[in-house]
Amino acid sequence: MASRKRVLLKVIILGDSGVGKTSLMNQYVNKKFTNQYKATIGADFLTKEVMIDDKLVTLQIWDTAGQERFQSLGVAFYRGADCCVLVFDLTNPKSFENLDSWREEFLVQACPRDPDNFPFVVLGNKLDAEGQRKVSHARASTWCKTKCSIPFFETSAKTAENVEDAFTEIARRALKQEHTDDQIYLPETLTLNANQPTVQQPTGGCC
Amino acid sequence: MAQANEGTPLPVDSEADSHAARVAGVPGGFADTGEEEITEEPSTAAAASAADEDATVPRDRSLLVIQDEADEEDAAGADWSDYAQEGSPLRTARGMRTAAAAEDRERVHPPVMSGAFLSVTEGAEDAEEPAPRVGLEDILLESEQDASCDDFYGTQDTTQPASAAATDQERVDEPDAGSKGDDIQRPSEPFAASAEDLPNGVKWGTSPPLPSVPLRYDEGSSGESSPTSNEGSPLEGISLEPSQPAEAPAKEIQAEPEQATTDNGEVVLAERREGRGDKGGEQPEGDSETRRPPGLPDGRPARNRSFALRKSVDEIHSSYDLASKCVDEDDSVPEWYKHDDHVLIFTYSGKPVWSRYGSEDRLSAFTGTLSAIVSKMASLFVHSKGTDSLRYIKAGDHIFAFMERGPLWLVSISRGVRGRNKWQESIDALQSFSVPSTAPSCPVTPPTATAPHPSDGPTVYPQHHHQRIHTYSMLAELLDRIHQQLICILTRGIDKTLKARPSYDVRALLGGTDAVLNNLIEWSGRDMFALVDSFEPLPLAPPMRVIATNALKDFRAVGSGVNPQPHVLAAILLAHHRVVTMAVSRVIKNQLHPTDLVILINLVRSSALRQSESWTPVCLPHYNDSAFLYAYVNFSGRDLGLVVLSSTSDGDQFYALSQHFHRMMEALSSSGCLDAIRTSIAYCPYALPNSLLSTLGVPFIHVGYFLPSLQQYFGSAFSRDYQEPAREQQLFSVYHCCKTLLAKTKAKLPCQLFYKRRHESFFVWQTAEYHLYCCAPRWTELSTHSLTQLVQWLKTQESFLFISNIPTL
Repeated sequence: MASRKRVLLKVIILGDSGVGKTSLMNQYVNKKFTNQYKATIGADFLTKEVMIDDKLVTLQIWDTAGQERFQSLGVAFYRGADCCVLVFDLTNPKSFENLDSWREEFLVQACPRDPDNFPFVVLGNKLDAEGQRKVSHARASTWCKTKCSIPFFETSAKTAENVEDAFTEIARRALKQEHTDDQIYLPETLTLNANQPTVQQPTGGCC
Repeated sequence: MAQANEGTPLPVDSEADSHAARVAGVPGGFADTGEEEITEEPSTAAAASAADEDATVPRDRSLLVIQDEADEEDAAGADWSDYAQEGSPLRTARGMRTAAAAEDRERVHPPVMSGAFLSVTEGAEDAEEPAPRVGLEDILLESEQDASCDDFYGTQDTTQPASAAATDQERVDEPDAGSKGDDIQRPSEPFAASAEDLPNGVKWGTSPPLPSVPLRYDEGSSGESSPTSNEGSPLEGISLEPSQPAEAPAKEIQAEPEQATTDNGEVVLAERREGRGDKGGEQPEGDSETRRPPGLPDGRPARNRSFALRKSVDEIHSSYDLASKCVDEDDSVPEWYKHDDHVLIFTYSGKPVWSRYGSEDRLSAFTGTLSAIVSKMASLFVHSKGTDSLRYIKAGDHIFAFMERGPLWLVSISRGVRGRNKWQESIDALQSFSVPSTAPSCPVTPPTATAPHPSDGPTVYPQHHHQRIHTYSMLAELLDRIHQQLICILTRGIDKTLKARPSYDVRALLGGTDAVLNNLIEWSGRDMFALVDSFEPLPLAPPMRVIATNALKDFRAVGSGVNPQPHVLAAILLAHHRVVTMAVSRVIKNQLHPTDLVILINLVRSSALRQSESWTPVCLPHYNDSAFLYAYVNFSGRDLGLVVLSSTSDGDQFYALSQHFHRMMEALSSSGCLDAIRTSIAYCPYALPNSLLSTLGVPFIHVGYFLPSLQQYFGSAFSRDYQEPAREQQLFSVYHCCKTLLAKTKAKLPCQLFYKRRHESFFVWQTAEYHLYCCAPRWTELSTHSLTQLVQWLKTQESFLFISNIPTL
């Protein structure tokens, strides 16, 4: 009955609006893509089960709103994340430059115990629009290296290129993070000696 | 996942709102809700009905009467307030409320609105100070009530054919209905005996101590006491009704008749069988059946279909099946949405902890959504400095109740009705909490005109009779209890862990506890402990209880063992979930909260602990929520079990307690106490003696009696037609509504509340000394006289029903 439950990992996706966060998630979970743009309001949630190194893992993916006016979930949103995915648009240099602030925002809000080693993954999306690329691979990789070697993937939500790999890496990193956490739960035992009468009087009349 | 987000604007009410609304609405509730029964001016009504009421309803300092002709369920549900009528004395108050509610829709800031509502409340209270202004004399108990009752009868008789679709069993009962109009005492018939006939002679269990027929079957009296007989009731020698016809024992008799005489525990059953045989000989079943009012518990095992499917409240703990969790479901399949009462627990990071239905893993998107809603709402309450939070959301026929307990968040999602029907929609329109203006304009079809009319009172119910009633206060109490059960398993240490590590996955710690949490939910809906925050003792003759108590607390070293007593904090002898007796150490004295006891009982009864002898850590949240105690649990007697709380986990203690258990069982067995206990167990839950009901002239459906001083209650068996989980739940939820209403109106003790639904009348009577909750078929008349007699009789039974002395170890 008390079977070991599978691991559940909370993954949140951050990035400017329109970089393709929801599309990436949809491609990964539902294998679908649409050209229509619909701003995410607040957040969206999806669950995906994956096999990582023979271990069944459930990803609870929190897809956020990139637009500032929809961002008000605050700390509850970032709290307890096991991995954070930063997404930018390869054709939009501004979205790349904003990665810094997204990362900072996350670290401030989520307060992970070991900020330097918290697992991030960076995705440069819209690889299919190679012709309009504005952020070079080298530039992005360099930035990632300076931030404690964040893994970097160039993906296309439209063609699904690299999406699976990227999310597998995300799950692996999150799992590693989870493993490093000491998971032992040891509640205290009540000590009553302090207020216990020193002499236990046998109750009369019972024998 | 879109479920929670999309759709109609959700009225979100902080508690202040709902509270105020209810309070303001209550006076409106005095007036009737049925369209045709709008009352006159209060003063006239009072004058007109004064005479009628005089003997009808017990007088006391404050008494609320609610008559609900048109529909019962929802009135008792979320909003009594919406039943306010224009003609009610509190039109002004209602007007104010409506105006406030209109503002409410435009409000930006909930805390501000709470203030507005509160002021309305005060205004309403000022306008209507219950004691001096309305008081007893102004009770709007309709003077035409009797007439309407008669109509009710008439309708039933004329619509008799409607029951043709009933099941076979229901057809069997039809003769009752047919004869009802003639044979049954009408409310006006002075059936109740005179004051001298106080049923003190009626005894339940003044049983001789030994197994020789400790509790006799009620012979003759039930058969002879036809409703119209007005002669001195045959109270002498009346003992006990075979309860809610203990079906399980009945089965056992058939299964293993030989054992019935060999085993101690079965002797009782054999006697009962004989009793039944005798009875059958003296009085052909058919005869007595037709002469008995339909609602009257006749003590014989019911033969109807619902009974066979019934899971008695005593069986809840032993019958959990993991399949009922439907682990294959999640929020992507329609089946998952069909469960009536969801409960989900998740962490403040949105990670699932437990779900009553479905797989927690696959519901993680759903819990994520819920956590986003909670935290989003929290930003609205930022000005309340953390004192306020999202309490509930009503959407259509669903109510979402939320509770934050540190880093653990709990949500219940309950559906009030199954499916939709025209009848329900008209009620919804009336009930619409956030849009009061629609109520007058909505074409309200009186449900009685469209719904299939019940043709056989308590036996045949239209579909809507199973509608559930949910109020926020009930759900909040439930969620709080679930949280305490969680703490009982995990201690508050879980809070620290989650705060230090928000991504912590709590599910790993809860393996195998599905039954514990689920049983608590199921049990809460069907027992009184949830209503009065107390525990239920096993009725037992006082001398027997003394023997049991002495055996229980007789701790001493056996052989070369050690004396376990220095570490014993409490010892509890359980019969199923009822407490036979208990003893507590002076360390814990007066600190053993009844809720702690209830969740402890639920824990040991629900898990594998029940099946063997075991040693488990438990936490008593009211006593100390941060650490574990240890419980020795031995249920090797199957129905009888010992729980000992110990402050040490050392192994010697376990063996010492194990020896103690065996010695205790020997002592109980040799003194005959064990037989007495088993007899009593077989009769649980106890039905009120028929002779008592005849004397009172009221075939009570259920009676609950609670003693605040002892924090114990007695709940009678349900009358035969109500022995079905859904109906039991429904009646308890009405009790809850009554209790909530009394609490919200800040009624001072003693206070009483009378509430009529389509099929039942409810009466709640709270005094400092006792609380009485009772429910009777609507067609009967609850009179001052009969209720007082009932209480007096219950008082005479207190020593049998309750544990008056809990010794200190």
